Amino acid sequence: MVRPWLVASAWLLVAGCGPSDEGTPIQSWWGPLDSEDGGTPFDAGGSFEVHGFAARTLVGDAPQRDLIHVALVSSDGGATCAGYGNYLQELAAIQAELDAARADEELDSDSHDLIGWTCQEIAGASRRAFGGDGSYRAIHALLDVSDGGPDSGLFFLAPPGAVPDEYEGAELLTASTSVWRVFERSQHGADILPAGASGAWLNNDIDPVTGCTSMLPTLVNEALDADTTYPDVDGLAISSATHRYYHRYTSQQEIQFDADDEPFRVGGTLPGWDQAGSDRVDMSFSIFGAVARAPETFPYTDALYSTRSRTVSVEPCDALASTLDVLWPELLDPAAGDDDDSADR
Amino acid sequence: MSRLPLLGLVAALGALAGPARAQESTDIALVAFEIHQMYCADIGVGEVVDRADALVRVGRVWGDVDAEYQREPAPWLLYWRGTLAQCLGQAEAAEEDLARFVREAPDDPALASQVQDAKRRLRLIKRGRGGQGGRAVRRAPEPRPKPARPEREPRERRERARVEPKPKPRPVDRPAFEPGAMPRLTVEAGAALALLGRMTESAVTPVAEGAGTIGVAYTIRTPVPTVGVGVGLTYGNLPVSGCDAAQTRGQLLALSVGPLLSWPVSGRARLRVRLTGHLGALGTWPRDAQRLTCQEAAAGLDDGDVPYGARIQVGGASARVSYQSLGWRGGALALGGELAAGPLWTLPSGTWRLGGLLFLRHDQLFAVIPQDTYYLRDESTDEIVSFELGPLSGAASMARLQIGVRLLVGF
Repeated sequence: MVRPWLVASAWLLVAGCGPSDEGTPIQSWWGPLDSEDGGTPFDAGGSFEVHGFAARTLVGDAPQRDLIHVALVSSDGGATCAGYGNYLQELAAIQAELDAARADEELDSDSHDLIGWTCQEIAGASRRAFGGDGSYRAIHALLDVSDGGPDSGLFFLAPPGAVPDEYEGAELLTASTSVWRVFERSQHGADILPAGASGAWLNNDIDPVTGCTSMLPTLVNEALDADTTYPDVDGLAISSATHRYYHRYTSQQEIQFDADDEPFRVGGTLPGWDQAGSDRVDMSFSIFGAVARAPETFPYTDALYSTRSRTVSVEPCDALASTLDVLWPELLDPAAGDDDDSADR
Repeated sequence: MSRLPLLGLVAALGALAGPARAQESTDIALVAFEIHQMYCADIGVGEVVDRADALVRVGRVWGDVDAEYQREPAPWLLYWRGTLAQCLGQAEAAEEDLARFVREAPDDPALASQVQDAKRRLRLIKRGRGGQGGRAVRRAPEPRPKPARPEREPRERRERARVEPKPKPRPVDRPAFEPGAMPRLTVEAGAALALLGRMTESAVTPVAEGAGTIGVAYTIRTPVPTVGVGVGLTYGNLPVSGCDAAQTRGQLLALSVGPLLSWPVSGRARLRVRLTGHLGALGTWPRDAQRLTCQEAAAGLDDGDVPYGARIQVGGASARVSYQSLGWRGGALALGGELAAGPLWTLPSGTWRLGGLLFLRHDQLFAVIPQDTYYLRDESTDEIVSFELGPLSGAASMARLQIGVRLLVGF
C-alpha cells in the first residue's frame, strides 16, 4: 500500500530536481578549417542546448540598415528572453561606466577598484541570469534584410574583409548576408571539446568566471592603444565576461557531416525571417567560429556549430534590439579595431 | 490528622500547578480513573520526588472531583472521591465516601462493578489495609530503619527455596501513555509570515512573505512535572535574498533545543510554552521560474537599485550590494531562536494529543561568501571602495522574523 505521506515526502524531495525546459541541441565540431578542402575534417565535439531569441531593428543613420539580431543561448539553468535581456542591459550599464571613466581618462590597466567592481558586477549579473556560477554559451547572428532579405531565407556568411587573418565582425555585413559570433563564459570549449582535447593548455586558459580581473587590464590596454585585431575592442564589458569565437567565412556552400546525410547549407536559414522579432520563427544554421584568445597550445583554431536537421524555435525578444552595441560595438563604429592587422591567436 | 487539612493542602498544591476543572462529571470521572491507574501505585512506595509528584497530581484531581460533586452530586463521583482519598491514605474520608456510595448508588448495572469494588475497599479499610497494594496506608513517610542483618534461615527453608520456583512478580499496570505528562514526541507543521526588509537608498521598507515549517521534537522530561527540555529537528521554507530583485525560496534544516513549560488548564488541556535556540544550514537554488520572476522584477529596477542584498558600510561609504555580486552560491548558516506557545489537548482515545502553537521565530542567515576583496560604489559620492569579506560575515547576513501558527500532534 502506498502511503500518501510517503508519496508527498518523495515528491518534496524530487521537486526542484527535475529537468528544466530543454532547448534545441546544437552539435559542435573542432579543427583547423584549412586542413583539408571539402568534407568535414573536424573532430566531433559535444552538443549543447539553446533557446532562441530575436529582435528586428533599424540601425545607423540614413540609409538605415534593417537587421535581425538573433541570440541562441545555452546555460545549465536554461535561458529566457527577460533574463538574457537583463543580463545584456546590465552589461550595457557596466560598459557605460567604463566608457565614462575612459572619457574622463580615469581608465587604465591600473584602475584596480574600477576593474574589480566591473568584474564583480559582471559576475553578479551572470549569476542572476544563468544561475550557478553564471557560465553560459551564446551564438549570436546579425542578419541584414535591408534589401528585402533573401527569398530562400538562406543568409550566407558575410564574405571576409581585406585582411583574411584578422578577426572580423559586423563591419562585414552586407545585404542578405549574416555575421556570427559565439560567446562563451567558461574556459574554451568547456564540456564540448572532442575527447582527448584536454592538455596543458587548460592550465593557461583563463576562465572568465574566475579570471575576469586578469583579463580586463589587458583588454583595457588594447582598447586604449588600439593595438588589436579584434573588432569588438571597445566592448570591454562583454570581452571581460566571455571568450569569443569570431565570424569565420568559408567559400564552401554546403557541408556534409555524414555520408548518409543530405548536405547542409553553410550560413543561417530562416524561411520566415520576415516574422522574426514579432513572432516565433524556426531557424537552422551551420556556421564556423574562429577561436580567439586561447593559449597557443590549444589544439583547434576553429569550431563548427550546426543544428543539423533540427530547427531552433526563435521567439521575439525586444531586449536584444537595445543591446546591439554591447555585443557588436563595431556595428555603429566600423572604424574600431581596424588600426592593426597583427594576428593574435 | 483530619482529612480536610491534608486533602485541602494537596488540592491547593494541585491548584498551584494549575486548575484542572473538568466540564462534565463523566469527564472528571475518566480523569480520576486515569490518574488512579497511573499514580496510585506510586504513593508510599516511590522515591520522594515521585511520591510528592503523585500526591500533588492525585490531590489535584481529588479536588476536581470534590468540586464537581459539590456542583453536581453524581454518585460515581462519590466513588471516585473515596477511591482517590484511599489512594491518598485518607482512610477515614475514603470509608465515608465509599460507604455512602454503596448506600446511595442507584440500582444501575453500569455501577455494579464500582459498588462491588467499593465494598471490597471498605473491607480492606476496616481491616486496616486500605492502601494501594496494601502499602499506601502510611500517613507520612517515616525514616527507614537501618536494615538489620537478616537472620539465617533454617536450612530446610533455604533448601525449599531452591526447588520451589519463585513466584512471578505481579505486573504493575503502568500505562504506556501518561495523560497528565508531556508527550515524548511531537510532530508539527505550520505556516508563517516572514518579515524582511526591502532596501531603498536611505531606508528599509518591511515586506512580508509566506514561510512554512515542519518539524519533529522530542521532549526530555525533568523531575519537575511542568518543565521539560525539547530537542527538535525542523525543516523550513522561507524567503531569502538569493536574487537582488525578488526573494527566492530557501530550504532550512535546523536543530533546536530549549526549555518547555507545560501547565494543565483543564482536565484534558495543557498550555505549553517553549523557548528554543536553533542552529542550522540553509540553501537556496533558484529554479527557472524563480529566476524568471527575479529577472522580470529586475527589469523594473533603476540602475544600481538593489532592494534585496546587503547594505555594506566601509568607512564613510555605503552601498547596497547584491549577494550574487558577493559570489554567494546559496549556502548559509542559520542561527536563531523561537518562542512558541499554545494549547495541547489529550484526545479521548488517550494515545494522541492535538494542539496548536503560535510562534515567533528569528533566523539570522549568515551567507557563505568566498573570502575575497569586494567593491561597492558609494551611493552618495559614486566612488568605488574596496572591502574584505569572508564566509559567515555578519555584514552579509539576512534577518528573517517569522510570526505564524503550527498544528501539533503528540504521542
